[in-house]
Amino acid sequence: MNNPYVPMPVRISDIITENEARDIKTFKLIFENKEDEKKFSFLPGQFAELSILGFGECPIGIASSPTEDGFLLFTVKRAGVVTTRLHRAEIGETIGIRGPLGNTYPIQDMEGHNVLIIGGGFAFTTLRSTIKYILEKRNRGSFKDLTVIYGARNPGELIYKDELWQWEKQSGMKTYITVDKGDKNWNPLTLPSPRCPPPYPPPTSGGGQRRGYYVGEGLKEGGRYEGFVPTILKEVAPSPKDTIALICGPPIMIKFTLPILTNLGFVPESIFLSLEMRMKCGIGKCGRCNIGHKYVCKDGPVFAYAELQRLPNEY
Amino acid sequence: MLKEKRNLMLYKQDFEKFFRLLSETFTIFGPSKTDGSRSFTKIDASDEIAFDYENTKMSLKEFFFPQTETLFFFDTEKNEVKQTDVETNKHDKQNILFGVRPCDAMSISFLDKVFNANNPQDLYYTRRRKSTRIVSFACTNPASTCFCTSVGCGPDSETGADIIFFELNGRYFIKTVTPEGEKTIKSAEKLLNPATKNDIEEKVHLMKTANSNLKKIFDSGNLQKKLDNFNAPYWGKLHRKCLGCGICTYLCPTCHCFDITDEVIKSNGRRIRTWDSCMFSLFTLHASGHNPRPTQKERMRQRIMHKFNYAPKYYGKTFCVGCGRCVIYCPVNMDIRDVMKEIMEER
Amino acid sequence: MRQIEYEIINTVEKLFADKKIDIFIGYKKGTLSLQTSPYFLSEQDDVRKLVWNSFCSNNLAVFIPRIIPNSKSKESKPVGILCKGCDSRSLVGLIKEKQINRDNLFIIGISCPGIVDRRKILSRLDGKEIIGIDEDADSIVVKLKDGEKRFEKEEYLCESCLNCAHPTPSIYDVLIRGAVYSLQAITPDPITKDFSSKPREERWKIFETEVSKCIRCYACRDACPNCYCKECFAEQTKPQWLGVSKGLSEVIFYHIVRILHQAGRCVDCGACVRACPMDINLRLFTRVMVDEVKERFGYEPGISLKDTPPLATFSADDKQEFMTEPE
Ligand SMILES: Cc1cc2nc3c(=O)[nH]c(=O)nc-3n(C[C@H](O)[C@H](O)[C@H](O)COP(=O)(O)OP(=O)(O)OC[C@H]3O[C@@H](n4cnc5c(N)ncnc54)[C@H](O)[C@@H]3O)c2cc1C
Ligand code: SF4
Ligand code: SF4
Ligand code: SF4
Ligand code: SF4
Ligand code: SF4
Ligand code: FES
Repeated sequence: MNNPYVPMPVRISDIITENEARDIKTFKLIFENKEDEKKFSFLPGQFAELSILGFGECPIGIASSPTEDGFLLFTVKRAGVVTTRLHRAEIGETIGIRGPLGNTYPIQDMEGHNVLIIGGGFAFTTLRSTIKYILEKRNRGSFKDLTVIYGARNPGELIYKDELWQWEKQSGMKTYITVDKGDKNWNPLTLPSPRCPPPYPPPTSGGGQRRGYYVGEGLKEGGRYEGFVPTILKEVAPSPKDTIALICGPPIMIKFTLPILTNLGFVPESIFLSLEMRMKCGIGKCGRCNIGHKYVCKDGPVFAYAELQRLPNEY
Repeated sequence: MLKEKRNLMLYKQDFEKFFRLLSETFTIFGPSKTDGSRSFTKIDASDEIAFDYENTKMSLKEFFFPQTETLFFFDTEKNEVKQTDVETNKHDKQNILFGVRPCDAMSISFLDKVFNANNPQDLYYTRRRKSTRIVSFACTNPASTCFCTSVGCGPDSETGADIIFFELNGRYFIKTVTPEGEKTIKSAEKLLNPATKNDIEEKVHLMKTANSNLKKIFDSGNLQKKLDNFNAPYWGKLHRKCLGCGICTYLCPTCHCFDITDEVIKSNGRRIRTWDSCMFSLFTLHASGHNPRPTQKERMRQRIMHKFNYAPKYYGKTFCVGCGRCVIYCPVNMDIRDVMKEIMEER
Repeated sequence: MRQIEYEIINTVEKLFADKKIDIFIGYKKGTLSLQTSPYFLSEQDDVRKLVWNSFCSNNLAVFIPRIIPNSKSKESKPVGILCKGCDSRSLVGLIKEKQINRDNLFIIGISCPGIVDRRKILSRLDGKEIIGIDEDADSIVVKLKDGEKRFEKEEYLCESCLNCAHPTPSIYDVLIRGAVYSLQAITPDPITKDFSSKPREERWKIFETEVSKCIRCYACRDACPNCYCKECFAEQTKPQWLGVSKGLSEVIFYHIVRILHQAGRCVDCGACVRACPMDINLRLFTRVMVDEVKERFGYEPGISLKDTPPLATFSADDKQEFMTEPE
């Protein structure tokens, strides 16, 4: 029988520093045992407990998509004991993983509909998984329009930069990237990035010199912006009709995004949020992560806004 | 389930023999006179059992869900997990927990929902649970702090027990509750006689008196509804005298919150789980510094809500059995019965 | 006793009427016999519920840092509080350690005849249910189903009260004088002196046996007004000082550090002992510190707002034999 507390060994096969502050890193993990890999079947939105013997565990969203075979990605911000130790890890090191844990974004419900993805900061991880999943050739047909709105404090803090630039260009999706405050390179869209060596790619559309401010014409087909996510959202959101919105980001972003979606006509049943609570067991036993009578680790982390409205506002 | 629960009688003078017969197959634990019934300890002779105790200080949960439990050992140098042997229970001798109060027995049936249910199963708990029979003792003389009948338990509640004992004049009335209970007393069958009508009447009378000594303070069903008001004004006041010490949760038989941490000496380490409590300020503190329950107000609310509102919704049971431990040991006399009354009175 | 209770009630009533305070912390009748409960009342609450008796055991000073965030905060009105000798000593400590501002307090001091140790009484009742309690100047009468039992207070006081040198509050705004427990206080404390005179191994054994009962609920810390730290060493993770298990070495570590953190600060109020659910005799160890500090530095915490705590100062002629190399 499976012991849900014992981690499976995984090897770090790559480490990518995502941001300028160098406190967000993506870890590429490969299972040491094939059987473990087979058992680890997940969908976007789920998370896992990463374990380092002697330091402990921490819950981290799965950033890779189930359609990406042979590895898992986790993007981790350095915060406390375990994440700090993880940041010191080197390629080749073996760590532990427990999971997949929690529920998923409502993939089945999203099929046949437009999908609006709203992310902020490093919480973009499981949304990346979702985007990858939708963009996968064999899945793409199951979903209608895909709109991505992603924001960070400044250009240096955007994660998955080379993919962002790729998505900007990709047909069949609209990508809006915004930063609270741009730097001198944000217009015209050059960006120092360890993952994205110069020359930086040109913007999606409207020619190389389009200024990416949120005020102005012709912004409806993607682009780069300066301003907060909710503000951009107000400008560029697709019609609520037939659209399911997924949100994951810092509490403050969520707080201001929800009323805007509601004003735009999104019903609470069509908005899904991924939440964070302090966790330990990840399997609904240690009693730590509840919001009202729901355990975020087991009944979440993804909740329909409609459901959240029925739960106490304590998160 | 057992088709027919049996009512049996055992003379008190035969108890010693009964105990010896059972201890041939089982290790027996009970409230012992030697430690002032602080907790359930190993009993070697029948006269060590404290029959007249009110309730052990430490609840029965300790036995299945100890305060500190090693999940597994590891070696940091080799970077290797050394599996524990929880998967197999072949090493375990079968245990009997003898003289359990009905409230504690019921609390175990709640913990079963948390740890034993296959969602996923907690092997550490399950393993002990599987190898243990619970023999409870009906309360004929409930303490003034007991309020079991207010929360759906009672001095003769059978839930969670395999066998229940009633102490009659000069003899024990024994009721087998589960098939496991039947098996448990097999070896002592020859000491047992079927209960007569008289015996049953005496038992019924006895429990009537015990029941009448317990006041029903509130109706837990009603309470759950009442508590749906998350922002009720009483939450602003109730917590003020609370010290946040967590005694009420550590001693509570149904509280099951835990922490998971690593301990290392040189390269030898172990991952352990230890009791934790929603009454502690760090319980929900995020690494970012954000705390969804920043003050004792929210924590007090969590404790009450979890027991009387959330758990009923999640597990279908009020996670309080009315044992009174939190009432007795709270250093500021935060009496949960009073809290309930206050909540019920609020409109 | 009754008389004093009336005096307290009248004083508090007047404080509310004169708009001097918005909140008062005192005691009310407990739900269990031999116990009272801290009572937070504001103007609309029933001031007649305030009680004063031999079971007003909580050290109410512990709530002050929780209500008043810091010494710089200017509360619109002071917080009213009822203080026994020990409670007031704790407040002095908090003021000196700059946790609170004296101006934010309105202290009703009460000279204290000593607090009765309910566990001592309970241990004499063989688990019999208490139906009622009567109290007179010298004794507690416990009514049981089958009669009553009289307990002379002198024998049933808490250990710290039995040897309390300052039953009258050291600071107050109003003082209510009542009977003061009149036994001569002795330093060093006879009980801890006996403990200290034992050989080292034996002392360690006693210490180990006591603290091995600990379940690490930290009630001893949470009940102590001195333990106001926002982040206690016991729970720090960066760095982590001790593990969280119930293992003996962890428990010992917790207790040694807690006791040492009380050096020159512990006012021997006994709140920690009374809070401990496992009946651990914590006072045995903290009182040793109290006597040690008194002997070495002639200092008693909580008596004066002016003198400097010995651990906050350095003098060339401090005894320092402990600084020598270990033999
Ligand atoms: C479902 C979920 C998905 C997450 N996904 C990501 C992600 O993709 N990338 C990322 O960088 N961070 C993510 N987090 C947050 C991340 O778990 C915390 O930053 C991390 O646990 C901090 O651990 P630490 O040991 O470094 O901190 P410490 O402060 O030392 O924390 C000690 C322990 O407390 C718990 N803890 C502390 N803070 C949190 C928290 N915010 N959330 C949950 N548990 C916490 C953990 O068990 C942790 O090991 C996620 C959290 C949740 C609940
Ligand atoms: S035992 Fe009492 S003081 Fe301690 S946390 Fe519980 S309610 Fe608060
Ligand atoms: S809440 Fe109190 S009375 Fe209820 S089961 Fe827990 S300890 Fe017993
Ligand atoms: S959340 Fe609180 S009340 Fe509920 S089980 Fe955990 S410690 Fe007990
Ligand atoms: S350590 Fe104990 S006796 Fe000393 S001040 Fe704190 S609570 Fe009082
Ligand atoms: S109150 Fe008692 S049991 Fe709790 S931590 Fe202190 S010494 Fe240990
Ligand atoms: S993390 Fe343990 S219950 Fe959710």
